[in-house]
Amino acid sequence: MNEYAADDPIRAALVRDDPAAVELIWERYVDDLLAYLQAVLCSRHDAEDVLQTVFVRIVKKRFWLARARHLDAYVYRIARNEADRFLKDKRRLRRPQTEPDRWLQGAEPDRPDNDLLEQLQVALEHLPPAQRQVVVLKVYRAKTFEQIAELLGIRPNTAASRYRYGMEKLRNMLGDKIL
Amino acid sequence: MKNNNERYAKVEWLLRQAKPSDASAPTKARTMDAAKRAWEQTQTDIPWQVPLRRLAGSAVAALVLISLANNLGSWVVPKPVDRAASASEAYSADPEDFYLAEYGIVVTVVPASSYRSSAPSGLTVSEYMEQLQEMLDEDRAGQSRSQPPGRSRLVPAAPEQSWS
Repeated sequence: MNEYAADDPIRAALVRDDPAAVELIWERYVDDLLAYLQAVLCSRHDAEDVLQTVFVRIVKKRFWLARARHLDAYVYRIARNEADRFLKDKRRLRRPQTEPDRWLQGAEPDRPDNDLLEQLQVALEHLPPAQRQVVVLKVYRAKTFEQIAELLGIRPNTAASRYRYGMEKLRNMLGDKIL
Repeated sequence: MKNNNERYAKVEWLLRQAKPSDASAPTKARTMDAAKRAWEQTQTDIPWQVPLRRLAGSAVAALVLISLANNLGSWVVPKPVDRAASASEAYSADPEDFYLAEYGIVVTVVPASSYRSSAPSGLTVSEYMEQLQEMLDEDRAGQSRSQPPGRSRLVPAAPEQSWS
């Protein structure tokens, strides 16, 4: 998938120690990373905070990133670790629960259906985190099970299984909307 | 499989009426600033030092493990008993014990009444050994003058003398 290739512009910029690599990384990964982080944290504000720490970590580890066999998996592993760290700190520090944070937006911004958005968000938040991550990456980022498996460090069959269980639960929760 | 795809197709269609929020412009600006500061701060990090630090750490860990293993081994395995020393320690108050220890003889403390020694009564074991040694020395001195070369100088034990 992402073999160590000299023609990869991100790798080339990292090897040259060119700060322009950060912009390239942003352009390639920000949508996937933010969607993944929102699926993990169920909060837009928390996801943006963690996104910032993820990029700082990427910059600090740029030497190893340039030589990583799979760039995508390396970046996602950093995001996974930072999200876990954020959740542990949140539990440890017992941060007060802020008002509900809407992390889903309408697919058509000019015609938002707030009720539907709220129902979809509540349904997704009722899924176990592992299933929610797979569903979000599959539905909203159009990833294959092989790609999801590589990004999350799981087997493709595990990704497919989590997707099926997640979709079954969503189907039960959103049954009246589907029928 | 096809039925599942149809079931999930409707759910997917519903989910796609929404999407996760995009990164806002302020978020991008804030993140880029933080990344730029981190880039400048980590410029002095020399990558070749990392393997050296790891090698040093591995060496230290190996030394710690080896010393722990050695110490644990000495605690678990009992020290070998020095029989000659223990024999001499058992007789530490008696100068005869050192005489016996030099010959590597392990002597068990046996009451005099429990065995019949061929030693004449009134003599200790060490005194008797000394007498035997003197007899051997005299015999060697005598034989060395009269004995042709090549003949054994071992003196057979007298039949009347036995340890039984």
